[in-house]
Amino acid sequence: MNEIEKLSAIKRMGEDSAQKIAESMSTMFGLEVEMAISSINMVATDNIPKFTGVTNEAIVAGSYIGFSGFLSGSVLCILSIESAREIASILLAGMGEESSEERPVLTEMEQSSITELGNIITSSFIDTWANTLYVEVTQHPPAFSCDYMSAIINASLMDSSKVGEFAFMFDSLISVTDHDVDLEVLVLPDLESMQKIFDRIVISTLDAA
Amino acid sequence: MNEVEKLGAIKHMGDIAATNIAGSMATMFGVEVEMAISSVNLIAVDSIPRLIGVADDEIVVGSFIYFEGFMSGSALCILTTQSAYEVAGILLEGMEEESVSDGTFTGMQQSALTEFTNIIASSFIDIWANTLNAEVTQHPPAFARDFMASIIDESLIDASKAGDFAFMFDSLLSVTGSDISLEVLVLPEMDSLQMVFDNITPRTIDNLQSQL
Repeated sequence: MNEIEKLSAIKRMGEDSAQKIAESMSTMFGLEVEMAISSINMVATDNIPKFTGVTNEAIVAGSYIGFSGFLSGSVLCILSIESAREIASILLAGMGEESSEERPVLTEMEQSSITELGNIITSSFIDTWANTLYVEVTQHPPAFSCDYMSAIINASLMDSSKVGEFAFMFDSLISVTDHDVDLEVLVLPDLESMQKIFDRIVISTLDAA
Repeated sequence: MNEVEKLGAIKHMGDIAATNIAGSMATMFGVEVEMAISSVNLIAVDSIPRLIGVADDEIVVGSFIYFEGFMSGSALCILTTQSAYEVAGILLEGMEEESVSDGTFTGMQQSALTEFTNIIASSFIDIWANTLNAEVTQHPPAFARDFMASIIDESLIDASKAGDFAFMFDSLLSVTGSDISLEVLVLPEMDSLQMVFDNITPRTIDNLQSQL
């Protein structure tokens, strides 16, 4: 298989997993969820926030989850603070409402519902990959973060010390269409894992995907 | 060489081309132009406007060029209407008698804006020519003011590709100290992209290193 065929197989894997995320979210929470964009990007790690349209000064909420095994890397779910509150209130179905007086940016319950969402998203993604490539991948416990996007990305890439270099990024924009919620899902396999994906793709991968 | 190394080389070529575009624009403008982002993307053609952050119903100004040879494909330059007026104003330095901003562009404004796309296409073509010894010819540029999706469709010679995925070089250039920004998109055709993969050798990497 030549590079273009392999790239298109990888592209389809990315789309399938983004589609799976949208499906899981709508089944679990009874929401109308749409995969708005799915793309694969090569971009310098310090350009990722700008690339996703987040300004340097904006504080966002997110969860990040590392994965390891045959493939290693991290999955980030990034939301604006408003979207985070909105989705948390849907997931919590009215539980954990606090008076607005001394309310932190996001309450502990809200934070844990965001990390739970991150878990669901990460497993949708990893399952698709594992099933398509017949490999084992383990997902690590999620971490919650409310910070500048660049800080979240740096923290999630810390182990791979890739900062400054380019990253392969599976970028999906998931929209909850019956609420005003947008969720950016970034999957960043490290470069070594990316090559393993290329090596692993054979003709039959195309049928599986 | 493995796929990741080759893609890395292709990414570098895009970075160098985008930096060169910023350099040429700075010379033309006499202002500082910054390459804000340079990326390589795999994306469904109909998702491109959203990825760039252009709403489906937004009218933008663009110019595009088709190139062919060793590499075939199209180069586009997309601006908001406001940015397009400002850019044309800077380039024409008041040569235009009347300034309108009702969404129409005079012949001179249009040709100033299409001149950009020439620079963009040449920068990319040069880098491919220098590193891969490839010969590429570029066609005359065209001006368009339309929905972004329509401009992209028009720029792709093979319109049937609209539902397919594209390999896209995407750079965002911004003029320092102003709110002018330009989105530069280069969409090589898949067949010619495969030729690039086939022709990248360790020497190509050395060649690129010397140009960085």
